[in-house]
Amino acid sequence: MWGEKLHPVAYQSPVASAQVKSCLLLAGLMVDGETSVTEPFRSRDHSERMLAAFGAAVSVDGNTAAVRGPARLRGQEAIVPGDISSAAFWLVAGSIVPDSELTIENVGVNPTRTGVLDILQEMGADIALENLREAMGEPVADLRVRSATLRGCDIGGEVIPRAIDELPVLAVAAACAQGRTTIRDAAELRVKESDRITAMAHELSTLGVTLREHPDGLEIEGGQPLTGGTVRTYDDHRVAMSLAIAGLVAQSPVAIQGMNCAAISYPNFVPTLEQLEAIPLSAECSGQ
Amino acid sequence: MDTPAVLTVSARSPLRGRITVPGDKSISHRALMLGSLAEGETTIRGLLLGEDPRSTAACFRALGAEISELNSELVTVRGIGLGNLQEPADVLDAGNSGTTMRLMLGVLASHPERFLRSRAIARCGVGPWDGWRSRCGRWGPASGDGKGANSRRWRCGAKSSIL
Repeated sequence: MWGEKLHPVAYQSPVASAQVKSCLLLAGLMVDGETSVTEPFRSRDHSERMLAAFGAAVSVDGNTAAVRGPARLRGQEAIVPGDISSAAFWLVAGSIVPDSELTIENVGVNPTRTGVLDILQEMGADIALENLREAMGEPVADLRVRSATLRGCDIGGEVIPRAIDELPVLAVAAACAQGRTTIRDAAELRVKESDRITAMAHELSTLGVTLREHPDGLEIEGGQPLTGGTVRTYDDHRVAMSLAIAGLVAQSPVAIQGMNCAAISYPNFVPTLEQLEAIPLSAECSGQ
Repeated sequence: MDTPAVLTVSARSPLRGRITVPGDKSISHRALMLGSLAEGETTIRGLLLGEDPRSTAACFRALGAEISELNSELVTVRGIGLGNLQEPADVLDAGNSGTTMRLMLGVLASHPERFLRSRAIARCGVGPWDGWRSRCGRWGPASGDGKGANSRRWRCGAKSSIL
């Protein structure tokens, strides 16, 4: 039975998942005819963009992405843009630390990923996209952020899948914003590297933030100064780096236990923090 | 790169400067995959160096792609071309990378049976995949596990039914 020829499918996916969609489009490269995936809403579209750049016949219509096979891919000169999920830490840091001005160079600003920009701008952040260009079908820009007085907002619905990985650091922004911020429709946060809703709720509480946890999000009362303290990372890189950003505006030092997990997505996070200087860092390599 | 186990951060003065951030993980995986499946040479600049892209590179090396040592400056990939995947000497290891595991299922679907080992399957389960694998039906759990208690082994390849 193994080795049977595949047939094209027009698949209606019950979930918006870039991995499901990419898997089927990759399978469709070798299939005679059109393989398509329709999603309830549009997930990240990096595969479609890069497949087209490599010469595959890709078409996108609303929430449907399709590839026509059999395809031939040709070698390319690929440039990987900086990860907006990593840039998000500096966007928040530059916003909440007074008198800051940072430029994060060469960041991918694919519209399926830029929820963090939309949310921060709604909160009153001062962020500009400079030198907008395109590489391998992906939009790329330098992001300039200046500190600003943030205000709370409601985060939910359509923007959530475009900002899901950035919600932990946005919770830090919310803690520093004037007024209440609600994050809803984000139950998926509970099944990431850690339960990020509980992790951020618990650790921000430790730093003196008033908040309430919901099954699918958080309600954060912003505007009170963060206190210092010792916090845990739950071995989750995004929790670790979000808490480091919180430490930049706390009234006394924040000690983050388990910071080494940051290396999973951002090996240079601590050196970059040091490069931005102004920040006295005391680091100790304990235990492991 | 040494990241301390305990980091103490204190508030102080403004943050100023120009910085860069690591390469996008999703795009790093896909550049390695499509470069490996393409004909001819692909160059990749700005690749994310991390365990997950390494898993993707290891799978494609085992399938015959020539991928230079991974670094963020310049990686060169000599692709094998669609349909020309070689028989790997061992079970393909997707490591702890959910992206590698799930995208490899698609890559392997139209090829003769291969085995794929993944800690991500053990960690995340198959989730939504259960619901549609019977329709697209080209992969499923293999008997026995992968190497180590936290791995699961799947078989992948063109087949009408997995059960």
